[in-house]
Amino acid sequence: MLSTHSEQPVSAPAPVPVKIIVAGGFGVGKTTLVGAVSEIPPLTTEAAMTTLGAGIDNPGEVTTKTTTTVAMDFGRITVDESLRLYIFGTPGQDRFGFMWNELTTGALGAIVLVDSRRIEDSFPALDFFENRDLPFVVAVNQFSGHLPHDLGDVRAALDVDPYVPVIATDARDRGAVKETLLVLLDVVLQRAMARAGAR
Amino acid sequence: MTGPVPGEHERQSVSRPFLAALHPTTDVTPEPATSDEPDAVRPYFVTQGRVHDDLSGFETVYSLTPGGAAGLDQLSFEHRDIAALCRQPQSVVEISALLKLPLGVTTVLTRDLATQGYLTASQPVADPASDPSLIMRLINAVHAL
Ligand SMILES: Nc1nc2c(ncn2[C@@H]2O[C@H](COP(=O)(O)OP(=O)(O)O)[C@@H](O)[C@H]2O)c(=O)[nH]1
Ligand SMILES: [Mg+2]
Repeated sequence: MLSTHSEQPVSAPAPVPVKIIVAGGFGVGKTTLVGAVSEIPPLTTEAAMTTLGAGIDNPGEVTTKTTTTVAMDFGRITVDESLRLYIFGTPGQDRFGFMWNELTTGALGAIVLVDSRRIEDSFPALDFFENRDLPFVVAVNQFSGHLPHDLGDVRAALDVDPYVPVIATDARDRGAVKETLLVLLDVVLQRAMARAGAR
Repeated sequence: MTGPVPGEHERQSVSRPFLAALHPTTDVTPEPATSDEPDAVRPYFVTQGRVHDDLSGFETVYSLTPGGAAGLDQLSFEHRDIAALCRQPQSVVEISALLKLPLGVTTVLTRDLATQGYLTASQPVADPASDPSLIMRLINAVHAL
């Protein structure tokens, strides 16, 4: 243990982190969305993951060991000196599933970002959050300034529960992303109040 | 549950942490680096070959303690870089991104530094999703952006 001298001031406690996840297919605008509201330019961290794969010649026998690198983009919003919000953008592919447990543990909620031309890219994220019972909103990113599909069509195609908000957003626009976060936080708040009332 | 509890990651008790940090007592062969990761050798060496696959708490925020600030120059390079960065509170992911260290390695090193008293960790919020007043603070902060 590092020795501490009694005359030294006690350091201020580190701020408490809370997190929100932004999930969706490749190129849907996750990093752009994070950057629109973050007080720091989005940062990227990489985790090297070793995965064991089944052999091709002898199925069932573990023969291959592959190292995959998972990249996560994130940004930050300082709430006050004791609270920070981190926003993590993560690819929604199945093969990143092993990272999602760590990502979602303790998370407040998620934004599933959707490109209405490639709706199916968001399916793994939707399945995961539904199974995890993590509150989420579906945000359809307005590429090129207009919504090619009606939001009702997107909702029908995604088959999400009626209480899940399906909204339009623009990942490049700070105001639109703020609004998206607020819609999510409202869902999170409703749920927290219902829980507090049930206690 | 969002982070490690300092001290949770117990190493064998040593009376001279500075020396222990400088001269690892255990002789561990470092993990062989994968060829597409040139940076991997050194980080894995400084963690004494420990590869962290429990990445939980990667948003845990660490800050430098006054005692840590006084003892900075007694740390090895990697530890010192991390500790110095935490003069401003930083999360494990931020440290990883800014120092270009893999997340697992950063997780190991920050927990070591907290165990040794250089860094102090944020207290994890037990269940933020069930805390209406915390969520209201977030809503107000997002409104104010
Ligand atoms: N036209 C348009 N381009 C966008 C929009 N959102 C993101 N992009 C662009 O789409 C590309 C991919 O965005 P990025 O945020 O990196 O996607 P990610 O892979 O989900 O992180 C980038 O070149 C962005 O500038 C949008 O709403 N409209
Ligand atoms: Mg990205």
